Amino acid sequence: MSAATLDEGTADGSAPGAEGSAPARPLRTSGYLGAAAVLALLTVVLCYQFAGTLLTGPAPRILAGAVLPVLVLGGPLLLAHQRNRLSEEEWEAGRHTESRVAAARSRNASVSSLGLTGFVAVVAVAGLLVFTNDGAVQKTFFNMSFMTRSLGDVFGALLINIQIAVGAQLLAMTFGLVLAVARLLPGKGFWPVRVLAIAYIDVFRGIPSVVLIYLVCFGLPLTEVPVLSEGDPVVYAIIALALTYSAYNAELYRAGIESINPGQTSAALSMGLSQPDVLRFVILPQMSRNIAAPMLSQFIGLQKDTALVIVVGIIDAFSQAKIYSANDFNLSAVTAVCFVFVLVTIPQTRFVDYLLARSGTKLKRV
Amino acid sequence: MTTTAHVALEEVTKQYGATTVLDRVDLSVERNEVVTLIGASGSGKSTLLRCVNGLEPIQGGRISLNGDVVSGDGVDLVRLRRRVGIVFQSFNLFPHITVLRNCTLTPVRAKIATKARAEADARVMLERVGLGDKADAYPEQLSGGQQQRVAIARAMLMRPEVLLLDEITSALDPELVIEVLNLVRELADDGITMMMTTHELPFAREISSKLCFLHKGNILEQGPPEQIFNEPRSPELKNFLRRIHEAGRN
Repeated sequence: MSAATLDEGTADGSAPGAEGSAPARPLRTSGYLGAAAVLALLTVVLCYQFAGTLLTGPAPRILAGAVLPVLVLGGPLLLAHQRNRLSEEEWEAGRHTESRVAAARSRNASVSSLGLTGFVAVVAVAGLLVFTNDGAVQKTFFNMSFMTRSLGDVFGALLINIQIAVGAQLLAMTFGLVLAVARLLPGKGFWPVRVLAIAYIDVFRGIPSVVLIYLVCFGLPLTEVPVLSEGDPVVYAIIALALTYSAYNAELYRAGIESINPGQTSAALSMGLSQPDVLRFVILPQMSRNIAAPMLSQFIGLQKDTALVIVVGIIDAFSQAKIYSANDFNLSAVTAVCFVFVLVTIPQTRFVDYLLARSGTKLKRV
Repeated sequence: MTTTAHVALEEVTKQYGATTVLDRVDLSVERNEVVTLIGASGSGKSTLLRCVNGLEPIQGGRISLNGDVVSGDGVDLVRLRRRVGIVFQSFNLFPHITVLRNCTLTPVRAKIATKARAEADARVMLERVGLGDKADAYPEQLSGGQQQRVAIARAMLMRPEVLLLDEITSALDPELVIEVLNLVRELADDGITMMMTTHELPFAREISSKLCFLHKGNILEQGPPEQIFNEPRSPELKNFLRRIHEAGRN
């Protein structure tokens, strides 16, 4: 409908669509405001409880557990309420657009309030859990003196985890690519190769890593086959994890290769590039950008799985911490291992984000 | 059987499963000739070009280049494709490398030229297609018309004996079509043997020495442009030309 007919419709009130052209009321705000207010109230109660576990005496508890949260959470809520009132006033005054704008701003303020309140509520619940029962959770898992005492040895033992993770990842990336390419080989003649690759992937993706580590590390030395049975336990662990993760990586590579537009292969072949050259110069470089992020997730999974070597008696970060915790009758040393693993993985994630952003801007640079 | 034609298709049959896309097609292209395939979507034009380049295997008949059979078993596809260049509707430049590297990748890998030589050749060719300043750009920084001109340059740098152009202006904005067509016209004037499919019928009429009308996998009519446009015999071709005319494309 054109603007002209719309205007006419409003003017004489009889044209088709006349009732539809009455000014639209602002979208409702009360649901947002109500939800924000209820959540804020519950959060203040939580904060008051949390303050009770940490502070003694009613005055500081009321100050930190009630007054402070009310001041912090009340701001956006008050704003949402004021804008809501403003919206109603503007509507009464006939300023419909202004009314709708005020209502939208009220909803925005309610959403901000919900976000802030949710954050505070989660922090309060976590704090309540850790410090409840006279700080029992805190003393069991986060005892600073036990943590710091074990940290040096835990870091030393972490070198074993890093060795295993890096070694297994390099092997698994190489062998995984071989598997993926084997699985994608075209033509009738290659079917036995494809079957082998598929069988390998199916089998080794299905076996739990911890079982494979157990079998390889304890089994190979028993075979007394020259070379095979004379390895270091760490080398066996690397092999065991590489066996599993190459199967995962093969599927990742395959998805990556299949994500490249077939036109790229057509173009590369049509110019007279050989099949291996097409893979090397056209498919793999484009694929690696697509799979960088999932490959890192896979690698982080592998890093965490290195803690499984505890079952074969290799002293890694986790088993080192377990020795401490057994001596101390306290799990803080093991919690320290958690911190250490997280500390190692976070920079990697940021690094891949950076790489992806950079390759993106390189392509879009104008 | 020997033939003097540059490209010869004899009873070429192409099937996808039970669907016959090309049904015993005979076609010969003489040296320095420009042959244009016309016909409705799905008539088999693009498939025919892809068969000549060996991108699609054929199920019957044979294709020869300079009298040498280049279809069927035992053909060195890599070598064939270096002799027959193809440019696609969707450009298909490699997005992860620069324009220059798009142009030098295959000549260097095919050992047609050293890296330095290939780059020098590529810069000359890019200059010729009017993109001398874009050598270090990435494909997505170029307009569609510019990308297609790079694709043509990339194909020409392999010094092909035959150039296949598959709907190369169909994905372009109307105002970019002309720059690509001008380039094709220049190449035709240089005397390179070309086979192309296009919906730009006035252009096809101007540039082609022969037009072939494909309908459901058969070449129903072929001949000089004037004959095809002015004296269509089959009802299918008359119908096709009328519909094109009504669409305002001719």
